[in-house]
Amino acid sequence: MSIERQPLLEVKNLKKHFVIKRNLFGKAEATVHAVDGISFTIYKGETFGLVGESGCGKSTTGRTIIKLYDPTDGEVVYNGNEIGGLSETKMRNYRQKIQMIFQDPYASLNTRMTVTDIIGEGIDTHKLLTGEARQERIYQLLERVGLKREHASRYPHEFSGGQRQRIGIARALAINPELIICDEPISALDVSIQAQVVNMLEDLQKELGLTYLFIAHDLSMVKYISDRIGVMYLGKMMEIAGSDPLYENPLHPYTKALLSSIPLPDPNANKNSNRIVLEGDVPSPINPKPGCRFASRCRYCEDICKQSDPELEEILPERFVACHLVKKINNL
Amino acid sequence: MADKILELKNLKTSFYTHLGEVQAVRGVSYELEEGDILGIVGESGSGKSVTSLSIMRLIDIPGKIKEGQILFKGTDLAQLSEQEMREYRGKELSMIFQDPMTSLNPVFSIENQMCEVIRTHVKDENDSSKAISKRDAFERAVKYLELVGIPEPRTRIKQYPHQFSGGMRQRALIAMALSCEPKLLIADEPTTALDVTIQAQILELLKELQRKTGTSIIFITHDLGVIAELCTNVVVMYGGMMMEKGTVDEIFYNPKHPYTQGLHKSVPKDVVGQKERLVPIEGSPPDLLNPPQGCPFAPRCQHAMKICLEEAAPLFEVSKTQVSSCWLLSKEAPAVEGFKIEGGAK
Repeated sequence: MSIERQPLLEVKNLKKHFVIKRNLFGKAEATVHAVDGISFTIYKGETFGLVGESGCGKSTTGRTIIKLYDPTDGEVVYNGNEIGGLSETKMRNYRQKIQMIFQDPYASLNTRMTVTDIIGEGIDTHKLLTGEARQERIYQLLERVGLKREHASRYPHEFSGGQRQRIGIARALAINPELIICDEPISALDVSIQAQVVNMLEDLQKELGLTYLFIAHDLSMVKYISDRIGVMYLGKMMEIAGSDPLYENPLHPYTKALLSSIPLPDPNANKNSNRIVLEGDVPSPINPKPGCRFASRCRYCEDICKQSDPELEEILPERFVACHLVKKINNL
Repeated sequence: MADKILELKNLKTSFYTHLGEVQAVRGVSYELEEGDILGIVGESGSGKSVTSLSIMRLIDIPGKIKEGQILFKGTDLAQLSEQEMREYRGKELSMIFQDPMTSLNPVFSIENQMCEVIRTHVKDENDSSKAISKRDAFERAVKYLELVGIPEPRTRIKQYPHQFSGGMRQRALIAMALSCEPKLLIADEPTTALDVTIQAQILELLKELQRKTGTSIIFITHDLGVIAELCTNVVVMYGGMMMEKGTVDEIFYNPKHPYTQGLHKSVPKDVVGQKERLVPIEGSPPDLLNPPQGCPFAPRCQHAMKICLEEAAPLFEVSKTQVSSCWLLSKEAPAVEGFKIEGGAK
């Protein structure tokens, strides 16, 4: 890890709540705490993985950063400038720097637009190129993501899932972004196609110096692609660490359980593993109880865990954990 | 050697759409021994789900089982009438589907849905001409809900599917599938829609139930990790055909088909520290409207020869338990590293 790394994106105590029920006077009665005060930093040129189970708030985090949702509280600092509270017009400049690749390649492309229109839309909005230069750029992008020139005039339904995801990537690249938020870009694809897309994302990163926020629930792929990983549970960040240390020696009890529940593609490894099987389900994020969010399923849970919410602290160098008992559990 | 509970012989299933005949399954043969867990792995469109729906005889118009035999304990299910098939479905063979959100009826309580299955298939203990009594059926349903780990089954059974979480619905479906003590359970991607921690719970549950009841299981998935964890034998499918079959150790440590090898290389290995670049399989799966004449994998295969494009390979015997459908295993084929075996065509 280099010493002089520059933070590109800093998320500070970000919150996104959705009110789902109001009383007669318009006061919130039930609120989904989708993201409930998380902080992390992404450095220039790295890939930051965000993992967790469905409903933990990882996609909401991505969408709030790019301001598809307005944050309820907290700051999003991009290159030293706070962008969380910007108006739509001022935000436009940053939209050029931050782009997103979506999960579902079938839903994220407009079926009535040709590939040229889809990729060119961003170029037009930001008035980057016109006429032939624009068309040339689109051809270039198509070839860069492994498609052909003649695909430019076709419509999304003429492509397979993997090819559509490539179009989505070309669209994100069209306006030369610095940070790309990849929201489960490979989970809708077949195994053999996943590897194609992941390799391409890696090549693009090297070539164009991109920074990725990679959101996924496929833990082995996240480990493969990420430099550092944040583990979320029910709207809270549980642990942040480099991907190797995290997988070698997870410190938080939730991370331990999560990692041990990945079935490995290796029959012998599975026979020897001591799996921690968590009891029960993820609790509801509607009006959550005080205390650690994981307390109800944690086997180490003590009284303090039910009373106060643990802060994310740097327990070891470069390792942040939010757990009252982390030192005790890991004999630190 | 245990008895064979299921034997597929050259099964072919097609769908007759307005675009033409979609040949979803193009000649699949495998067998399952009693008490075995067979994994079927393949990508979307490989025909793995259609094969299992064919076994259950759940292929509806415009689909049709074109050819082949489905021998369940010696009876050919493909030849049975719909009436006769009802005797088997639910009682002898049972199925768990991928999506626990849509495979339960939202307007009936869990009790209603479970008791319906039980009362259709289970006879009264004293008088075998009558169906089991309502009270006994209820007790049985509660027993199975308890077995699959649903807390307070007596209260929960009165509830409706929307009051259950995803993992609990899948448990309820498993309980329902097991409640008539089937000899064969087909699980079609039962954990794909679930989170990893819930998946771990369900896999543990299936393993334990299999030990307790001795049910044979066909487990369909695209996740190699799940296969490695659960299954004893594996069938690898691609483009409607069986590419390779063997024990789990053979398929993972000594795969002889380029597609199986490609699958292994396209998932990240659990190596800490050094990072090995993934090796994807280039290209995309075949179009089953116009399936390739030869081996379905040939257009994406780095070892493809002339014969591969012209004729599909037969199953070559690699060991007593492993067969692989690749021309490289033929005696006449040029020697390519990783494909050398003793013996020849089966």
